Amino acid sequence: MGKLLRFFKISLIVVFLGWSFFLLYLLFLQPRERRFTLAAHSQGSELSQSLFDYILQRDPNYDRAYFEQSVPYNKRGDFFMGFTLLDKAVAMDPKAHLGYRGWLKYDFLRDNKGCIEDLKRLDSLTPEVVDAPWGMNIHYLLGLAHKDMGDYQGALEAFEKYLETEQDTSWVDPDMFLQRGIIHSDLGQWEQAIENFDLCQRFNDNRSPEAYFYKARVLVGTGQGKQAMELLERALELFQKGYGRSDAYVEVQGQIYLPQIEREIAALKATLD
Amino acid sequence: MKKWLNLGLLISFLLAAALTFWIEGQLKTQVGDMPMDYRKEGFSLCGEGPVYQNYSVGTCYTGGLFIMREELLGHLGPKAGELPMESGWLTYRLAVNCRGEAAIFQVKGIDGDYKACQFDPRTRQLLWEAVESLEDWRPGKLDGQAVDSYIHITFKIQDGKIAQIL
Repeated sequence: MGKLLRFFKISLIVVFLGWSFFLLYLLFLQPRERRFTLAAHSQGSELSQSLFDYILQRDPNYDRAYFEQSVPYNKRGDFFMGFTLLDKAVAMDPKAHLGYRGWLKYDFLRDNKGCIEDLKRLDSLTPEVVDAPWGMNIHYLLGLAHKDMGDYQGALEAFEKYLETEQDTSWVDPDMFLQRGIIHSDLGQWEQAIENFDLCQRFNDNRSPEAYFYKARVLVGTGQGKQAMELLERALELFQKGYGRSDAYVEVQGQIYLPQIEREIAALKATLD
Repeated sequence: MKKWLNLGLLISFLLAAALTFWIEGQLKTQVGDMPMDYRKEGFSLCGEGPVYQNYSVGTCYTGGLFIMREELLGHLGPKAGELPMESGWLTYRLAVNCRGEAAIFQVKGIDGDYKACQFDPRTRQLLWEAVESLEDWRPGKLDGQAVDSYIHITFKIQDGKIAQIL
């Protein structure tokens, strides 16, 4: 009995020490890349931040750790902390991180000027390639920033470059045509606006409530109320089926909302009746 | 020998338990969490469990940003364009419980150079009151169940005017 108990206790000690060593190995001793992946997978937790801190303590020039550390802060609205960390990553490797910072400035803060500055700098550092900050063609992103700040000419030029730098139209985000359509519509260039909304619709398999919605506005402006009503009703139907453009983090440019469509329908109905 | 074995067992157990609980605690604590001692009269979270992020569980305002902006700007009236002469971004972070009740628990600002910036207390107060006036929150859902979550609203302010609500 005594021997059995002793064996049992020794086995438990081995298990407890083995478990502790395993945890310590995971957190502090395994190769840096694996610790980085572990930290990235628990993004936003204190554990993740502590692991990145430890990685940076050992290697203060590891820019990817600063970049990853910044992400949850920016996603959760602490832009001071987020950008303080991200700026360090950019300072260490501008080619790798300028694109993301530019995208973030536009997407999360609509700091269009800051976005354009970052993207222009990135472009000057990599003249041989068409950059794709956060997966977007750099010219498309530049166009969106110019459009948001009301520089329509700059936006149209950037969108044109976007088209030129893609292999063919199948690579182009159909929403670029929506953005171009909105610009032409705002400028009162009805034909070009309609042409772009139709292209957006074509490349979206006729499932873009936004393209119908904004085209309807053009039709209202040109006195074609009945046709506009049809489009608004189609937009409403598609929106209710879940085809509206949206993003879990931020509002996308040109996004429309259910009450917006309903009000537009009600207002148009009142003029048609 | 027996004494040393028992001591070894105790120490190895305590080490394993301490490490396990430390990791668990570190995983549960998240960037941007509401302070543990935060209290607001009439507000409480529904559960003891995790408070999710809005982008994971779809917390939103009824009618989306379109209606939220209308209500915020409606509440502010002409004051939205007559704030003290400052520029930057001011972010209000809220907890929205599973019943759709909300409480602001953090305000953070940055200036045009992305440096921390407090903003004029009058601006902070005005926008605080506007955000507090929002009453139509839709709680986030996980597997069909309403859950507690966090969300934030950012005001882009240019030369004392609200340029955008993000």
